[in-house]
Amino acid sequence: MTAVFSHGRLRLYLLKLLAEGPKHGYELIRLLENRFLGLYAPSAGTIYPRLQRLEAEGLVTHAAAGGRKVYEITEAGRAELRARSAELAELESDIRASVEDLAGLANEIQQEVRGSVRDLKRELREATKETSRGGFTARPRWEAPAAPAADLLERQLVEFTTELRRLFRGVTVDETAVQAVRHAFDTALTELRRVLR
Amino acid sequence: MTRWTVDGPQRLPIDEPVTRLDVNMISGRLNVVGGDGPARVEVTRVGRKPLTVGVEGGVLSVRHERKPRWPDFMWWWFGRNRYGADVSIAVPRSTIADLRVIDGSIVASDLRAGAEVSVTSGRITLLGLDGRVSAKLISGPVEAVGVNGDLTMETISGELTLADSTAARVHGTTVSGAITCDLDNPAGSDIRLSTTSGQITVRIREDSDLSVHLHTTSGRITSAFAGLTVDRSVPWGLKDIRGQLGLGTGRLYVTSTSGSVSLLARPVDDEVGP
Repeated sequence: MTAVFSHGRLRLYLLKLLAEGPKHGYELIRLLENRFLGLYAPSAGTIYPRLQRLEAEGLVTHAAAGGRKVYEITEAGRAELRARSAELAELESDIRASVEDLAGLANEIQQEVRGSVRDLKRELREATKETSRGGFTARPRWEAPAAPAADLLERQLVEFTTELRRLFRGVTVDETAVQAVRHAFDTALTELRRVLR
Repeated sequence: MTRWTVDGPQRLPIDEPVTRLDVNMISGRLNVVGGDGPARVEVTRVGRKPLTVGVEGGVLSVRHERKPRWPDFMWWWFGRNRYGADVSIAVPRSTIADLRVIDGSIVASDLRAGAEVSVTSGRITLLGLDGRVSAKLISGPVEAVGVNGDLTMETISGELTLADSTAARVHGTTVSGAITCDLDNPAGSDIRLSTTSGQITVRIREDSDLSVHLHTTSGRITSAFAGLTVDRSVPWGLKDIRGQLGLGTGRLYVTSTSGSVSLLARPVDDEVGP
């Protein structure tokens, strides 16, 4: 799938996605993933440097919102997009073609998976070597057990999120459901604040 | 009920809604991709025996027609040239898939409602699956990336590799073959991996809440987590390690008879998150 995004085309596509409205990096990754049927999910390490470069060139700007950077296209960015509209149309048709040819798509999927699997095995082999050299003297990486009461609360929190994840799993959630869930969270939070003050 | 008999390369758009996919092939390659659009079937190669494609009551079925015979493996051997087919299928993401190929490979991608994938001899490739997923082979590897939900992988002789997994329940079994897993294990995970003669490498989040049991009869154990109970008096290897990480709400059980076991820690990356 990476073939579709050769020669700076990913950069162009990021501009195009931002032209549809301001987005944060994670959103961009999800959008790309959807566009490619989950086949191409660029890592943060692929997206953020490109966004930074775009920003350095004055094509996008960012604003911090809720601890995250939200990127927005600038007028210069829109101009760039207009100037390269032919290139963009070609890219879009390439993307469509790559997704429509099922057998080709499956091949790409297999290549992609095989690549990730190979990389993972290499990485973990290295990590194993590193770890066995260090032996068991490595510092503990987790916290000492908390006091019993706090421990109990913590456990309840874990159970709560586990249950929630189970509820969320496999459910298609629409806008109103999201609203309802958020409302339920807010109510619970208000109540908890009152209790724990 | 709509039925087609496919004896040559063909594209079949499926107009009816599809909620289940049922494929039973004797030999060849099967690709199943979930997506937004309606279902379609593309056959790029068929052997001398035709494929039957049918849709009824939301079930899309693709199969090699043949009388049930036992044992399967003898029939694929005799039938592999007559039956060899390459089939690619696109279905809505919410489709429940049951995929069987006796001799060949299956690629399944972007299915959100679970899949049962079975190959007797060949390979299984999974990408972006969710729900209850099982991948079973007699001989050959399973390679899975980006699986969520509940995953079972089994093979007799072959490797199991799982990358980028957020699955809460992972069960992997092989007799001769390595197991490699990189898990972003959520709270309350249940992970069980076992092999007779392969090596097992598991990487979990460094802030995992797991009760851990690692065991090997004649291999070595390497652990990136200190504080797990280790019997260091055994001079030629550490055989059995138990302990609790964090709150210990989930379980991790790893056992190999003659292979090494290594448990690695993955630094938690806070930078990217929803």
